[in-house]
Amino acid sequence: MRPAAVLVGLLGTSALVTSACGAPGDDTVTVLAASSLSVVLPEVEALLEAQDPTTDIEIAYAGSSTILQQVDAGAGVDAVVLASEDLVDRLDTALVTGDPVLVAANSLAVVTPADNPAGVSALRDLARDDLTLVLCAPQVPCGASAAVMLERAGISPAVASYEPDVVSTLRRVSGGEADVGVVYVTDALDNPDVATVAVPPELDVTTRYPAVALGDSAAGEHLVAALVSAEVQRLFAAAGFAAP
Amino acid sequence: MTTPTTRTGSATAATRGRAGNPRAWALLVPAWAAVALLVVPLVALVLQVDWAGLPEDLASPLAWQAIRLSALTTSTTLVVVLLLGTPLAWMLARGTHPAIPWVRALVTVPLVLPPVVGGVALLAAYGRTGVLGGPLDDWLGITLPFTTVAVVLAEVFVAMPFYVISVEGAMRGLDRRYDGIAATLGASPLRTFLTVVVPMVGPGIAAGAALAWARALGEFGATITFAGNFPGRTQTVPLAVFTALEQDPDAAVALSVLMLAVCVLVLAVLRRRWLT
Repeated sequence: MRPAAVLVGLLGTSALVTSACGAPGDDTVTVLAASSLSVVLPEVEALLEAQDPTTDIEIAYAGSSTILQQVDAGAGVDAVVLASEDLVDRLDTALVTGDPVLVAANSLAVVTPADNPAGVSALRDLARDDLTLVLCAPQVPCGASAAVMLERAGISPAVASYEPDVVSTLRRVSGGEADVGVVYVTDALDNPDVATVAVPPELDVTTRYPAVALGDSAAGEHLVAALVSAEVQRLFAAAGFAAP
Repeated sequence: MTTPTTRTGSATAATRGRAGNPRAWALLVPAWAAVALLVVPLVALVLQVDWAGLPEDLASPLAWQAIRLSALTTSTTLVVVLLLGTPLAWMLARGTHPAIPWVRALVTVPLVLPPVVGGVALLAAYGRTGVLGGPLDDWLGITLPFTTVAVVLAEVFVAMPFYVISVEGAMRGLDRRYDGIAATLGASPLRTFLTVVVPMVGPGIAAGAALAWARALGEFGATITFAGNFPGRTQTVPLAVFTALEQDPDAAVALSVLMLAVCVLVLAVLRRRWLT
């Protein structure tokens, strides 16, 4: 009895493992997207699923550099949307199907908690050494762009923490742990707990989001095409993204 | 899927070799599967190491700053854990107050709590707008997040329970009559604790300290959530591994294998001195 029970247990487990690892059904599209897109893609997902009820879109969010790492490690997703055109070149070319399509653009925002406890009123205030400033880590696009902006402004700030993605950076500021942070305009718009300090246009750094279909399923290419459809682009615009 | 066949093969060999009952395979197959689950990733990590470049990778600014910071914070954590955790273990082992079991349950929660949740809890307590952190900032101008002190707080939070549980167990195993004799000879409770109890549970203290230190060394979730991530100030070795994974994978592997070596060393010392 007992060995038999063990065997049944093992078989059950391996069946579970197989089904968990197996490719998702034809109608499931899996996407890895840059953290900053988490303010808009849930609505895009709802819209596309309503347009085609047989499709199930699954989106996970991470810093763009983490996404590259996960794709390299065999994440097996149908498409990625990154927050940097440069990073597209680092995708494994054997996986890429179709050309990258730019789906949106964004610009940087300097944000403070809503009550702005440190009285930050301009970008040049970031040079103050009495501020708790958080930035995205340099390897994620929001951190790379912030570094370019600060360099253009001639500021070498005292940084309190390099956060792994833009969502963590924003949370430090909205939660009141940091006096100021550099995120995207769309993050600032989406969050009532932060106030925005204007960035002079000549110092701003534009971020463009390329969507890339991966693997050999057509689902990824369909999704990438859908992201530039008029309806989806309206959602991007409503969330504060600029046209690519 | 060819691996199961191989595993059955080695299990059969083991059955013939050691376990007399041939039907033991029903246990040996899952047992070796378990061994494989635990050991394969570690072997794979070691295989990834670029041995020639290892010294250089470990000497890179990112790696070296992290090693120094981890050495500083984990040794500070160890001192705090010894100074506060030993009396706590004594209280739990010897206390008769009805609240003691509740205290024991509470202080062991961080043992099973996901560390990232611990980080959120630490922010709620010591963050700038936190229950204690708020007044601390308003009245004294002290802010803890993003400082090395925050790293130590996070490490103490996750590591102390390991120490307390280990030492409490050792103290429970100690014959209470020694305390009684010391007391009849006129020793105060503190003196009894320091000269009778602590020396007699020395091995338990050392084992608990080693476990707690290793746990502090590996701490990631609570640290990055509460203390943030800045080289030299809050970026300990695990955080540096996480950061380097994207920037400099060789340094990440080098730091990982260093952590692995240190952990194996701690276990080896524990096993040799106290566990057998």
